[in-house]
Amino acid sequence: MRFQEKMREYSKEELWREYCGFLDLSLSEYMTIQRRLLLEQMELWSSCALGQTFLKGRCPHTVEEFREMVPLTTYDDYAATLLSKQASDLPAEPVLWIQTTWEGGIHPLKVAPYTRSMLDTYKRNVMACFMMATSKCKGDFDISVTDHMLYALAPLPYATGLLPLLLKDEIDVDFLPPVKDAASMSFKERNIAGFKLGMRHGIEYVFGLGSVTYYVSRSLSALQKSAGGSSLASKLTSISPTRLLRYLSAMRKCKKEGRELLPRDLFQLKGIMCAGTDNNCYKDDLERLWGVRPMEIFAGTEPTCIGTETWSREGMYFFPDACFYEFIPPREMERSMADPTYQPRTVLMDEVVPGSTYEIVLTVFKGGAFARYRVGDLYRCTGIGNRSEQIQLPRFAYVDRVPSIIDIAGFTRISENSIRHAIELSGLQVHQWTAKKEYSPENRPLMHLYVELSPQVLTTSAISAQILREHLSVYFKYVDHDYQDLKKILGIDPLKITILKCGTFDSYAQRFGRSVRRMNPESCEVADLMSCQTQLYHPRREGSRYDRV
Amino acid sequence: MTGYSWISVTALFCYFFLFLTFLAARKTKKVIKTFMLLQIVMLLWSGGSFAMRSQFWPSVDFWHHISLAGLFLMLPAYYAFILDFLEDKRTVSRHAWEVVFVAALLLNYFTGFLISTPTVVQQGGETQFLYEFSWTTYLFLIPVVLQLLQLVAVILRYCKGDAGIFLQLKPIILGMTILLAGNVACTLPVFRGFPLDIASGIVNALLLFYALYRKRLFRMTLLVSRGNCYAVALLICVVVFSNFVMPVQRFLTERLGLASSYAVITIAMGMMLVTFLLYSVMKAFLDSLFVREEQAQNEMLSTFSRNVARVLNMNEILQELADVITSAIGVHRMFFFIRGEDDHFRVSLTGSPLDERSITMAPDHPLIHYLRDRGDCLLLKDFSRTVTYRSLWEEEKRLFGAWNIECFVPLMADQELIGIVMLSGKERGGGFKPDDLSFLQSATSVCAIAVKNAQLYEKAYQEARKDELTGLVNRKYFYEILNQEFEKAKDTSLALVILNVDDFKLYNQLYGAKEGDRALQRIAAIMQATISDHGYVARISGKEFGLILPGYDIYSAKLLAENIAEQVRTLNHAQDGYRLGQLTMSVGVCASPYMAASVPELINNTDMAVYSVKRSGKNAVLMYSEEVEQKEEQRKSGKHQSGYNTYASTIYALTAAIDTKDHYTFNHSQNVAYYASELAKACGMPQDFVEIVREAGLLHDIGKIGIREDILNKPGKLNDEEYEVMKGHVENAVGIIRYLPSLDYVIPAVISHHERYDGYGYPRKLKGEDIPIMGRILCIADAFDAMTSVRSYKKSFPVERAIQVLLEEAGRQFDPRLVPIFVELVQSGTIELKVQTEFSTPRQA
Repeated sequence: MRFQEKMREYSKEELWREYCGFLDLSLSEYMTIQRRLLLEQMELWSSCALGQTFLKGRCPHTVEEFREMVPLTTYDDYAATLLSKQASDLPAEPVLWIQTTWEGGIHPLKVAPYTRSMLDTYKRNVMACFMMATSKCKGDFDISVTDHMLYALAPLPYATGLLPLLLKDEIDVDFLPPVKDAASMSFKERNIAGFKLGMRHGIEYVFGLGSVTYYVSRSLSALQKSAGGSSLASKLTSISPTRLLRYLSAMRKCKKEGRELLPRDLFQLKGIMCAGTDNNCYKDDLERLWGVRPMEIFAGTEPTCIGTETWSREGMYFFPDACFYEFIPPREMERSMADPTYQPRTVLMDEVVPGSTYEIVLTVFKGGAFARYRVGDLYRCTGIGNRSEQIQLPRFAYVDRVPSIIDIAGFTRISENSIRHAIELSGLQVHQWTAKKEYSPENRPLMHLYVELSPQVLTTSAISAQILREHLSVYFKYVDHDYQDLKKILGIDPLKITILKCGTFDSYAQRFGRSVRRMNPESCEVADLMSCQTQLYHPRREGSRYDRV
Repeated sequence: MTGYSWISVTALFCYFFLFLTFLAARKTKKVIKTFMLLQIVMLLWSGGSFAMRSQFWPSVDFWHHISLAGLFLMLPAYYAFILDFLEDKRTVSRHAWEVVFVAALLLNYFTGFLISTPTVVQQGGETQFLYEFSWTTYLFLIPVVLQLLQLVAVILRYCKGDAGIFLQLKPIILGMTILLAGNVACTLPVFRGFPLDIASGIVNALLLFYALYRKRLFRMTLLVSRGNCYAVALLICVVVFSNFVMPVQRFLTERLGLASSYAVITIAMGMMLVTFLLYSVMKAFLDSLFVREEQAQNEMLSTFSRNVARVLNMNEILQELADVITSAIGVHRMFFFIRGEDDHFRVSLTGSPLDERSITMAPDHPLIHYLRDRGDCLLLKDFSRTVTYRSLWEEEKRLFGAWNIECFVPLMADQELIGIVMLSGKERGGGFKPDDLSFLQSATSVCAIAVKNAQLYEKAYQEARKDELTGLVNRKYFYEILNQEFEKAKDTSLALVILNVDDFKLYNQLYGAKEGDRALQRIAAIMQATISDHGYVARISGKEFGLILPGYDIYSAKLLAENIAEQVRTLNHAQDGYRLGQLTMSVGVCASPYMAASVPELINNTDMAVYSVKRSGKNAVLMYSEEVEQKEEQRKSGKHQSGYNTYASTIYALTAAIDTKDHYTFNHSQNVAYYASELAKACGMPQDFVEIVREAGLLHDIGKIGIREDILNKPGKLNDEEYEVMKGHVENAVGIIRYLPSLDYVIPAVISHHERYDGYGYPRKLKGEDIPIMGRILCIADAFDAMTSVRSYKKSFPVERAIQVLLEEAGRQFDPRLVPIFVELVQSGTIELKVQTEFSTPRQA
């Protein structure tokens, strides 16, 4: 039965219990589901060729044995089987292969198989997200079949393309523009079509990557302005009378308040759902634009939809039936970064400690391919339970990708290899470098590259930070199409260059006995690096005339 | 009755009927009471109106005010009904409205301010009631409209976005609309004279009734009771006859010329007949409408209850349940899971023998948890919408789908889940209705108790037939089965195998009774696993097992027995870190019709084969033959020597062997044998026990054959190494005696004669009563002889000193209960002292 049929058959309370009832579980009940589903997955995974490449003839019978026998894995471990789409080697028959970028410039794509059961679970969990996006308190939601959803998501075969399809499976909400038409449109065309349809029918929900949703929302304002210049006749034909009335009243109000027209003036939104990284940078702005606080969901290509925020928007909870969750504690994570051969110890959902940041490790249920998989995301446990929400489960906040990856606005996955590759291709004589994800004063993410040039090249070439930035940007776009999309779709160039004095990196190594981490060094490391640059200057000042001033 | 009075009468009956029916029902929910209140209000309204129009006693004015009371109170009653229907707890607003309308009613009663009493006008032979409406009448509409608005607001608030509640309220909303429309329409000239308001009231009442029925707030069978039908039939008759009694009486007396008294009797009889007919028709109609199916189910349930109460076999009970479910509901497939002793739920019965039965559900299965917590029927469509369902495996979901399961019914007995019935879709389609679930709940409640009783009976039955230690069939049941199987196998064959564990008493004494029990359990497990369901395994005495093998010939039975004997032989090889002796079996095999024509003969022949093996050195499998019988006959005729006599010469030979190493040893052994046997006698032990003690005394130091002479005869104190060598003589003795199968019963005594009562002895450091009593006796005898004799390292103690030492060491080295007996024997002269004056007894290790 589809959700919209259930809406006719069941009360709100019953529907809430069905979809969002997992929030009422006690931690032990939650773990019972986790463990039981893992036993099922263990059986499937252990008996398939893919599982046996890790287990080598052994067969775990308990959760503890599974955690002991199966090492932590990365996509490299699955690439041979998955990239060639060897379905017979998998735990269950996939019905769909979802793809995403693997590592900018190095490995073009990675694919993940989805079984029928995974999709069913995904669908139910997405509906739960949808309900909670419109809820203001427990048990309350506001969904109607006559609603319209503006969405800013990439189409299939990307994971984001699944979401509208799965929602469509459950409820006849109108997507703006229709999913089928959107697949053949460019990003800009989609925005314009979505806006036009929104003006005609209204918009009740917005769904997309946080960054893209923000960009689309800004575009709506711009489109609004351009639409303001069109003739009354065209307005009357393209906008519904109620919308037109609302539009005129909003224009009057904005003029009175001396501000630009915002989407919230035109549309009475029920909820915004956003996925991806860096959503925190956009949430406040989105709330200002739409008048509704966005609700974050947590979904990915490999893990499916694993978690959601609730009506309070005070942190997210993981669905018990999507994946088996393990968490690498901070110290183990550090040890693993220092020694890639080290197998970090993990803790389970009932062992996490509030305030700690963990790298998540997932075993996908329902015949998924990935077991004890390091998907590369960091989560901070913000608390166990929430009295005001009457929830007893651990609550999390998404932090970012693991330090070895720089993800800008959910678009890119820049690794050390990608940067090295871009620098090599550029032919720039960069002697040393380190990259760190930072945020601009406007709270927008950017990649800050600290570079040290070869002394020889300084005398023969004109190299400024601006030249380096433009030069490297070209090559980043060349090696990484997602990076190119940042400019194309969001109109941002997230590269910031700081040229360090020659010898700074060596000085740092001498002073601290180790090199600076290439990717995402700690802020204190960067500060130390900068201070090394200053100290490097001091010996030369000896005897200079400034000393006597 | 004139004009449209029948409408008022119908309304009256309708409300009265609804009120009466609910009066008989259990009022578990507040909404039922509110509904009854609403019926009273409507009854007042319709009844008052009807009585007024009929100009009943006492007056039109009286009935007018009764009718108005109903009208004024209808809206607050309606409001309260809807709030209770929605389970809304608000009380202030409902009471406020009640106060408003009661106040309006009272005001009108005393002043006629709002609606005055109508004027009765006779026009064209018809009585008409003319109401005078003035502006004050419209004042009454103000609270009416306000409360209606509030009612609408409440309904809208509950229905907003909640289709479920809207569905529940739909009949009520429809009823309200019809009632409102009826009341408005009756003011229109076109409907003048027709009591549309009353008619709409009937429809409204029926719709409210339907809403309650849909919400499952009552059961139809409870409403359509015999009493209710009688009451309604009687009421109808009273009303009808009250109108017709006079004309009929006139007709009977004037037209038919009946006497007045006969006319009355005829009318009374007629009334009785009509009442009865009315009752029968009404009951039949309502039964066919509502309860025929339910009653049929009740009858089935009652039959089922009687049937299962008589049965104590679980499968029969389940079959009864399957039958009653098939008859009452009709399902395609059924699976009956029953909890086993290990708390796992296994399929005990299926609707069809072709259905899969290999499914087991562990006690922590989510479905089991869920049903245990809920305790009532569960539809898969509801279960699939729970969080618990999320923890089900895909394979399990697939299985439910493949079996077309729609309903799970728990078998609960004493708050315990003892089974689950899984039912597929109904043959007639349409899914399980609440009435079906209610029936299933009743049937399974009865069944659960019966199943639990059957399980208890089965357990007791099995316990009475099973050996407690091994779980095998016990001796009594073994003979029962043997007789039964013999009868069954008359046209084929039946083999009997009797397996007797060799020297098991020794094994018990060597390793303790617990280890002995474990060995028996392991042997039983071997047999059970080997036989599987091809026959029966029984423990027919302490160390004797029997196998009944229907369809086996002697040769196959012998092969099977050899297989078992071989497994038993290797049984203790796998014991890690603890050296246990090898277990062997003496096995006899016989089979009918080859070598026996009756059960006693079969048993006797098999027994003979076993004894024959025992006499021929044990540890073998022997098929019964005539030769075996001859040997046994010879034995019985006394041509056979006793075990001890056979080996008496051996014992003396062995003791002589020690003598060659130490010529005093022989005397020591003789002395110890003498002291020990006397002590055993004094302890009241039987003669054969005394004999064993004597033989053990003779042989207890036989292991010293293996000890070097320089150690044996060393004049001074032994060093640690020498002492360790000396201690080895105990195990050496056992090693020698093992090779004398008929004397191995002395081993426990020999091996424990150096154990101390306090647990510090050797070789096994046994303590207290764990030391075999023979060992404790030998220990005292050995020490006494050692003390009272000259040794290579000491002179002899006086007897008094030896007795003193024995008493001092009682409870430490010696058994404190045996020492006083021994001392008494010595002091009384019952024991004659065997004192050696020269180097006599060997070294006490």
